[in-house]
Amino acid sequence: MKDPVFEIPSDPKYIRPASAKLIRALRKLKLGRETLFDIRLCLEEAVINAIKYGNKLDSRLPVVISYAISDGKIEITVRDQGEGFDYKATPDPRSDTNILKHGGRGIFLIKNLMDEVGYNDSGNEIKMIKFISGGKSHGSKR
Amino acid sequence: MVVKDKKVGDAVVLVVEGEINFTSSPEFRKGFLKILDSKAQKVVVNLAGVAYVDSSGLATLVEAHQKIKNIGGRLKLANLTPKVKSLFEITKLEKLFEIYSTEEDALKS
Repeated sequence: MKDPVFEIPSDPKYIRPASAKLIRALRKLKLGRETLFDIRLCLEEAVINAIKYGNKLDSRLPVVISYAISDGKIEITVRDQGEGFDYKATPDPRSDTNILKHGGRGIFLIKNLMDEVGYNDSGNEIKMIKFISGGKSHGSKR
Repeated sequence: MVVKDKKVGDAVVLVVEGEINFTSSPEFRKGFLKILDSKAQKVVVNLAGVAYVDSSGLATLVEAHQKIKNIGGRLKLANLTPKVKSLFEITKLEKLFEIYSTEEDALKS
């Protein structure tokens, strides 16, 4: 079966409805509140980055979200229409030089709360994986 | 999100209800800028009613911390829910902020 896919315009007012839609779809899995918090936060952080940095707040450009539930894991992808970014060069927001900076914590939180995070070659699509049963860490890493 | 402020002794307590996220952060910023205008030196943000904070919310709290520090004041956080507290731990912001279990503890310190 094809993975569910949906699009939202690049407007912040669609962030919450997008995460609510995903959380509704996950209801049948009876996940704990902490896991749902992590999934919601990571999806919203990825969507905010897509809207703000990828699509540069151009509401005509869609953010494409897909998800798949299989083999004890949830895979979520978020794609924007931008040129991508150098995801290998994301600074550590915990360092003394960055701790007071406004940005940089979104990606960091995603990397910490999800079990696996990857990007496509052009850097405009993030794939996030959360193990939900029998997985290696259940997002408990720090 | 609702931000209410109250004066307790020489401190101002900001009581926040709701979420501090990408869309509501400007509302929170408005709340603390009002406090800054009043020249309060001791500010406690009570987060008991905040079950969700995202990276924009964390950044706004850092901004509030710095603005109050720059005028010689102190910003303290109280009553963080476990999940919100874990975000401060992951990002090491727990080292930047004074975090207290209760509003009373924050006011006493």
